[in-house]
Amino acid sequence: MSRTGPFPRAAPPAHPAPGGLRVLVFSHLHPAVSRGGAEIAAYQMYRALRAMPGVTAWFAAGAGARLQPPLGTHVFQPFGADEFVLGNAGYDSWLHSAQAPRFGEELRALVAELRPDVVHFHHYSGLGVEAMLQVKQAAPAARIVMTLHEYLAICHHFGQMVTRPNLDLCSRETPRDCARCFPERSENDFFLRKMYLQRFLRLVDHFIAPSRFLADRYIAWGLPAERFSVIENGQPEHGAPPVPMPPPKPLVVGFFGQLSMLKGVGLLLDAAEELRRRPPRGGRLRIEIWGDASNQPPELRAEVERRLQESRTVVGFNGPYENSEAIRLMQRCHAVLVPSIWWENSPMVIQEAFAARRPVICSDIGGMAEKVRDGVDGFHFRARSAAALAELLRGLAEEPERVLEVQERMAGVSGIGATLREVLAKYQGIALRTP
Amino acid sequence: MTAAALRTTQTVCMPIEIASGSRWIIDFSRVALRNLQSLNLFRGDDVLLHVIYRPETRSFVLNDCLDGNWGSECTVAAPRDGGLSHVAFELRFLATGLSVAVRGGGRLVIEDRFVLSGEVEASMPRTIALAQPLRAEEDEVLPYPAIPRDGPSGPARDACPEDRTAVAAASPAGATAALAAVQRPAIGMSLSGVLDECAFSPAVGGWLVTGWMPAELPIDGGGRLAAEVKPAEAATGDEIIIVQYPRDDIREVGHAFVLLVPCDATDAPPVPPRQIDLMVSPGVAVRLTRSPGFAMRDEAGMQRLVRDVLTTANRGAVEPLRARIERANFTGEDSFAKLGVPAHVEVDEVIPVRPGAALLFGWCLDPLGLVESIRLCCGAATSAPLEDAWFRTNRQDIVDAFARQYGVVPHDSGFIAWADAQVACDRRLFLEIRLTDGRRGLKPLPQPTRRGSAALRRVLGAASLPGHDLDRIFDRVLGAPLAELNRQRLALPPQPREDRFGTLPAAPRVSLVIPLYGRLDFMRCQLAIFSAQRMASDEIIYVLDQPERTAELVAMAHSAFGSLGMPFRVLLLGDNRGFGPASNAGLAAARGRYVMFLNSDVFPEEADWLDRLVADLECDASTGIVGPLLLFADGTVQHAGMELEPVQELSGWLFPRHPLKGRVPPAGGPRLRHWPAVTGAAMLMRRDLALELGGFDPDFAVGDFEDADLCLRAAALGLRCTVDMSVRARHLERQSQNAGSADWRHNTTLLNAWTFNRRLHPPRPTTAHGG
Repeated sequence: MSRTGPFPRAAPPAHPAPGGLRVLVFSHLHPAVSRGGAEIAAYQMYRALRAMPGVTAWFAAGAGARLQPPLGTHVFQPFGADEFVLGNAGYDSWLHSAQAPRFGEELRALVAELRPDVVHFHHYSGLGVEAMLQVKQAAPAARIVMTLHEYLAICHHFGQMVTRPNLDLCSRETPRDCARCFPERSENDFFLRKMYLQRFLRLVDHFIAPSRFLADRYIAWGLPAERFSVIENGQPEHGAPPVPMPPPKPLVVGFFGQLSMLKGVGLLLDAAEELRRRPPRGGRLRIEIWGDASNQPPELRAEVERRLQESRTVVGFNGPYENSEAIRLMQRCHAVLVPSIWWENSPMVIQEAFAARRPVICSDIGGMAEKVRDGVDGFHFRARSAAALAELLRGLAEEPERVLEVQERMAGVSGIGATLREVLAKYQGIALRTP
Repeated sequence: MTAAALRTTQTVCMPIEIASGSRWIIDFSRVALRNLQSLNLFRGDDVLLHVIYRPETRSFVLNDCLDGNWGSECTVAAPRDGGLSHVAFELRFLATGLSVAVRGGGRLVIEDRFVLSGEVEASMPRTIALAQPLRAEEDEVLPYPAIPRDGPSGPARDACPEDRTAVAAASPAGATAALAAVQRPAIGMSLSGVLDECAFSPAVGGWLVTGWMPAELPIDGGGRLAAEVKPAEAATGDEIIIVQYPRDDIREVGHAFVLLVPCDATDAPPVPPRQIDLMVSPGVAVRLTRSPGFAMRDEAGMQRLVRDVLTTANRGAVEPLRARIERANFTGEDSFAKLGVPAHVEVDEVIPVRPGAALLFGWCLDPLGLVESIRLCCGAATSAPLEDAWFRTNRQDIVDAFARQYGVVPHDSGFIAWADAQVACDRRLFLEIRLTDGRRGLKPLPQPTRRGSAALRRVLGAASLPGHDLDRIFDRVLGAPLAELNRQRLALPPQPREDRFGTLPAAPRVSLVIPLYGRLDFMRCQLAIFSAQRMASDEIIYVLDQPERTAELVAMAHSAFGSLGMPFRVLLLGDNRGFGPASNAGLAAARGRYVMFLNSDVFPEEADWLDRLVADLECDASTGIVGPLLLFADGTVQHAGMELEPVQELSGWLFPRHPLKGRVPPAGGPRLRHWPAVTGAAMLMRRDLALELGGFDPDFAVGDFEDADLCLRAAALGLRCTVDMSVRARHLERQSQNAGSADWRHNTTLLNAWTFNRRLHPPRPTTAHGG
């Protein structure tokens, strides 16, 4: 038995005309079937690139579990001519490695067919880190750019950098510490995982981190600092006029998103309990929740429902919402609460709050603390402390003018247009790495 | 050994006369070969000539010891083929030295040494024969000529009839010697007798022969006599056992006998003996020839006759022959149990090693000391007593079961025994248990259920072995049978199937040979790392040493090639063989100018690592083997060279040691460091050197010591082993080895350590020096 054959390779572009830029954007999932921050950011970028004159852009996403390729193939097009979905049966989410024997061949063929100048990965999960090598094999002259969205290469615990099972904050990986979180794996396994991932991530010509905090984590992990830029993902222009703050009677603080432990729902309910027992003097406070716990384990959902019921004098529960409604709903509040107990990167909810021009109350760690300046764009409280959160909220309810003052001078949102200008500038100046 | 110790009560001493130019025949019987017995010619306290067989080199060693100082050894090769049957060779005492010619083996002429003449004292056990040929031109060896023990003269004077009479008178059989016709005009003297009836009994182990002779022989209860049987193929070995009994019809003229002439003819129809020369004692030989009424009998009839005879027999091997016939007719009944004695002998498992020989796992509880011996039997043949080659194991279950019955029960009632009945027959094995009161019982053994690797693993996992007693345990009990089981396991050639992925270089620079076992997933990781390195002109050969995972590995190989596009070869072995033999299979398939033996959990750091190791060999012809600095995942040293160090708690055996292991690698120092050995986890050498050395020695089971052994064999060719400290690779060596979880893994290491230490590698410096 023998398998041979040269890789299909892209012919060099015949005339790289000015503005004739060909960009292939990879995402781990298609936003048509999954609404996570990374895939939305990737798709926004693809749409914005397409809209630019002289740019040809394609979007290629991992199929995940919700899309199935036709039998006997990996690459398919359920969403139109310029969008591809890549099925990847047997994907190994330990090494982030594609196992299907023909996957690499089809990915190489696709890249050779599209002849991109730039391949922009918004993720490698679901595609396999080997995709970087496959791109270089099929299009040796193409630049690889990668936007990093969380800490997945560093941390096997869903890239969250919190320990397992206690969800304590973790600031850097070592094989020894990682093996403590995953006793079923050895230190050597973690060494091997890191070595494997880095072998392919080294092929990336330039990394884009939406926060400095995330860039620093990856640089400490071993990626070369000189290949990093910090560029915010950027929000599409919503075009809605600014809505003035409603009177702060009561002060309304909104929580938007998944009711998960990592997003701080437990902390929020603890703080609410505290505020119920000892309400603010001389002011009133409501916490309004938009979102749901539908993706959470049943025990957690039951617990959340029970505690919401107990705290109903302080907390209102409004159920799930559409992304397109987010800004309008935020504008009903005086501030947006982001009490995550993990580092975060550049949470979309903060960008949305900025677009809605509502101050953000957040944990004083990681990407949150970086994006929200305490006393300028919002307020920090000591991360993971329900007492500190309750104290902060009580104080703001008693002196709501503090919130109104901040709202007047907080930062504006960075739009997708600005992001794209920065990214395109990077595309031009990247030195090419050899595989 | 001191020269005086060569004279023991077991040896026969006699004066002989050596004439210059005379030829002598020496015959080492199988027993002499096996027991390392020697022939010695003394004059005073000086040993003028010492001859001994050395099994590990299959050669005879000649030496002398003058004024208490041993000289240098001269060796001459023994025949290569065959087992331990007898070996004959000729010595010719020359005026200027000694010439030696081993039949079927080597020849040697030693000048200016061993110049002997005149009377010397010959000393040897009965199992070694020394003689002069009958006729000068006769090339045939006479194994058992008679040499007078007490006679006044040496062989040179034996032609004189008066002397013969004198010898006969002095011999135990002297009273009847006058009746004997002297058959041979040679040294010593002979009687004659006749053979009457004969039957072949494979169960009893040979020919049962009746007859009579004029003399009553000086034989003891063992009844064993050295003998030469004609035709030679009628007998196996060089001993017969004999029983004498009174027979009325010949009462006036002689004594009847029954002989057992051992013969294990299994393939061809047996040839009956025509003539038997018995060496009764030094000085007396008896030639037995067929009587005019000689007849063949049926086996059963002969056995009946012998049983009858044994009721009246009074001399020779009465009990041994009776026991043989009982054993030959063993029905499977536990006759030991029927004796009803308060002693327990139980065997839980039998591991057959070869026909007639097995390792036995069992226990023995004999609170009153009633058991004299326990032997393994195969048909009539028996092993030596088990306790000669066993070691005891702890059996708490026996303590628990018998403490109430017997009060104090020894904790180590278990045993593991190596028993060899020394007969190549496929008959069922059983035990014979002899009691101190003379009674005997036979006991069936359980059916063997394991062979090959399973047998090897069972033995190695059977007990934790005491470190202080390893010499005895391996030399006498475990070593030889385990080596044999391992060789049997590897007897069939590997005949691997091969799958190729991608386009391989036509004439590779390096062939990387990488066995896979257990963590097959390392292959993908290693290929990913290699794919980023300068290895386009090298070929990677993975050798799967875990056949039950063939389909899984082939799928992984397709997947890895699909992902990475890195070419490689996969050899799929049909059976699990261990690191060394699997690497050898890769070596056989390799095509590169160099071969790199590599573990699958070694991950080189720099892209040019292989270029630099190759350059190390190309720059220095005196370096045979070069390896990289290996680091653990945490960056500390896993391997920076190997030295050999005696481990006192393991019988002082030499074990490889990794200096600097676990330490931060040294910052300075020479780039190239020379060591007695480097690890097999990563070693580069010329492929023709690897082939010249025959690869790794497959006697090292599973994977230990074979690398040190290979390095020492390269060193014997004058080649150095070197570590290039500037070439680094990570080695995710298994961490669990020191956990001591499995006896079998530790004991495998001990087996390999025994093999290694018994190879008697010449000692060499154990400290590194820069280069």
